[in-house]
Amino acid sequence: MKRLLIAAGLVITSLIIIPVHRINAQTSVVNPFQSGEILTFKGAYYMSSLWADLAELKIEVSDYTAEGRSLFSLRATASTYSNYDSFFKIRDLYQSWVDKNGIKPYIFVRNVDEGGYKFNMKYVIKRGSMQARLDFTRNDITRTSVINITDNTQDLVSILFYVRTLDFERMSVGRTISIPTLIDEKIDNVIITYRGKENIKTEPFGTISCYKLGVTVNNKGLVNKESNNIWLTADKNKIPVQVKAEIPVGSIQLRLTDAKGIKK
Amino acid sequence: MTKMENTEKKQTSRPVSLLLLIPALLFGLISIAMAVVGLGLIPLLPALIGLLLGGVSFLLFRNSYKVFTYIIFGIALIAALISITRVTLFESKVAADEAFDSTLIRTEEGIDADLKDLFEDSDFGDELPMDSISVE
Repeated sequence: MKRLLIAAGLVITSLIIIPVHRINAQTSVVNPFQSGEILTFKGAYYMSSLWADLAELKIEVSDYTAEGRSLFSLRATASTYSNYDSFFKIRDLYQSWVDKNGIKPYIFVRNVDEGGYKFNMKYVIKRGSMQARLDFTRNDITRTSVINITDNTQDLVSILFYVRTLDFERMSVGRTISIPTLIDEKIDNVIITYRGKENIKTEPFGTISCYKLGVTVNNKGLVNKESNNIWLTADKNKIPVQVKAEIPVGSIQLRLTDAKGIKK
Repeated sequence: MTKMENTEKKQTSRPVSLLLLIPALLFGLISIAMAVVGLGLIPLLPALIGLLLGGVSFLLFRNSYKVFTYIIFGIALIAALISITRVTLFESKVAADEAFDSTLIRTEEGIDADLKDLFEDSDFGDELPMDSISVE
């Protein structure tokens, strides 16, 4: 009788496991973006209906091959417009090298140059030992530290692409997702809250239906929990078209101005 | 109203008028400075405050510092005009920056070696978390 139960258990288990195994073997990861995608945003400060364009943010996706592995290089650059360069010049680079299957970052570089304040950060992420090595360089002095990570840890660039892979159609409004993210020299939980769909007026696509996502770090917004939002197009590409962050006086907004190389 | 009474009224109204006109001038100058820097339409805000304070002073104390009030109006209007012209006629652009371009290239140069070290490292960890990825 005992043997019969074990045999029945094995049969049932195999019936459950085999189809899942088959699905995994047959499927391939579908990313909503591709190499060659270039998104350009205009960063502006808003005070009620008055605004000032401050900087341009460009996000580029390109292929990168290293040691026979096919990666994505995700590069975000932020540059102030020329009229601010003499007062407060910003030239920031955020670049991440991620696995194509899974948006898993391997290396994340952050080169900051803001009004003459400069520093470089390079994270090398080792998932085997669940650690990230950080080389922090400022004034030609480099110090190295080790940060404990989790399996799903993202960086400041890869998190955007990771969120684009999520299936919001299957999510209920109010659903939250916690993503451990390397911010500065520690891991913070970035909490994404799905807030439903909204129509957003955009420069490249006209008015388009978008997923509205609330973004908080460790469940804190700049002003309150609902003050920071990002809108992704509600289609297969999930292109970020607008980012809005409330600050004590006014708000900072990023608006998509140009989109090239979008996956068809 | 006698001439003496009129002079007395003028003497009391002048300091009050100045209390409005000095901040109005400051707001006007701030709006000019902001418009010259190119802060989009934000300079309209101090320009409007300058116009408002100048306007209140002009309505309440019509005969005090008339020319000064007109100058404030002029400054605020010029600031507003500069802001609106800049926003409507000139597109914001990022200046070419060779130093930054070379930073972009330099950043990628060392990455091959870092990735090689990483992939050869026994601590690398190659398992792929599939939980969050949409699949066909």
